[in-house]
Amino acid sequence: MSRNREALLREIQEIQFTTVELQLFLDTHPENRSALADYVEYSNKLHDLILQYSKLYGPLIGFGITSEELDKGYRWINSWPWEDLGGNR
Amino acid sequence: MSDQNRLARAFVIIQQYNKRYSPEVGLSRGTIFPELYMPYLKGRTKDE
Repeated sequence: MSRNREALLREIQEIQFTTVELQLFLDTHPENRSALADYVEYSNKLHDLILQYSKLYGPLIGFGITSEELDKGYRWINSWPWEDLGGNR
Repeated sequence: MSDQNRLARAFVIIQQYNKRYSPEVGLSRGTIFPELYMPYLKGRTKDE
């Protein structure tokens, strides 16, 4: 797995974790505007990163992707996101 | 159970939205909130 691909995947994991944390915080603090604003920001960023990754290396998720991605066919059977993660790390 | 005994009651303060770790640090520490970062470090504190 290339450096860039691994780095992008790592960034997606980091942003996704922060988004989940903010979502959990908002469960008990639904009125907190500041946390909500950060949640929206990270949520959008996560979406953009997943889209960016999908365009470069193939889909990360099986649905909820753009029709542009689907036009390329069922590419998720070619390379799973976790493939090549072992062995060469 | 005698009438004098009481059931346990939990008092938990509400979390404030203050500082956050960066996404990178947050993922490695398992929380983005510094006030919730409580690693088990035998014989040490997290500040050491």
